[in-house]
Amino acid sequence: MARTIWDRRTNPPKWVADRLGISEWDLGDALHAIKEASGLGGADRVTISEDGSVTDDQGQVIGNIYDEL
Amino acid sequence: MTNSRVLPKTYATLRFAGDRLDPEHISAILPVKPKRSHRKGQVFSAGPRAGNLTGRTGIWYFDTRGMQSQDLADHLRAIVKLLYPEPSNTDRVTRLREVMAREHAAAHVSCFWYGTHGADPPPVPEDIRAALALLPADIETDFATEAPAA
Repeated sequence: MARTIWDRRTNPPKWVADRLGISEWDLGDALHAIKEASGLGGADRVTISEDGSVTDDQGQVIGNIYDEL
Repeated sequence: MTNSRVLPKTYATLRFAGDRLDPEHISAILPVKPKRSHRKGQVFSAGPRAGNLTGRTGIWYFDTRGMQSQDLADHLRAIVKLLYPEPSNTDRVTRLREVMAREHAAAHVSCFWYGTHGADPPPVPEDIRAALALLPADIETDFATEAPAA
C-alpha cells in the first residue's frame, strides 16, 4: 500500500507536489477536478498517497492525480 | 509540466449530483459529453491508474479544462451557454429543474484559479451569478497563488 503524503482539508503545499514530481498548480488543478467529479467540495478532506491516489474520508479511492495531468 | 509564465490556470466545472439521479436525464438536455457520469452504486472507470470505482452517488460532471482561455469569466460563460443557448431561452434550465426536483438532485458550479504570487483572484461576474441562481446552482471558488520564491 502506498504511503500517505497528505491528509488535510486545505490545499496541499508545494512539497506535496514535489513528492509527486509535478508542479503545485498541476496538483491543485488535478485535485480540484477529482474532488468535483466525485461530488466533493473544496472543504472536504481527502488523502493523497505517494502513488498519486486520492481517497475520501471513508478511505474510498476517488481518483488518481496522474490520471488528470 | 506547466511553466509559471502561462499562469493563471483556470477552469470551471458543472456538476449535478444526487442519490436518485440518472445522469442520462441530464445528458438528454445538455448538448455536451460529460467528463464523468454514473448512477449511485454503478461501477465506472476513473482512469488507467485509478481503475474501476463505484459511484458513491449519482453524478453528471463536466468541466472546461480543455478551453485555452486564462480568463475565468470565459469558462463560466461557457457553462452558462450550456444552460442558456440564447440569453432568453430558459428551456434547458426549465427541463433541468424538473429532473432535479424529480430525482432530488442538486447543481453545483466550481471555479478553479491558480495565479502567480501576489496576483488578485478574479471576480465572478454578477450576471453569471444571477444566471446560475435561476437553476439554482451554488458556486464554489478554489483560488490560490504560487508560493513566493524561496
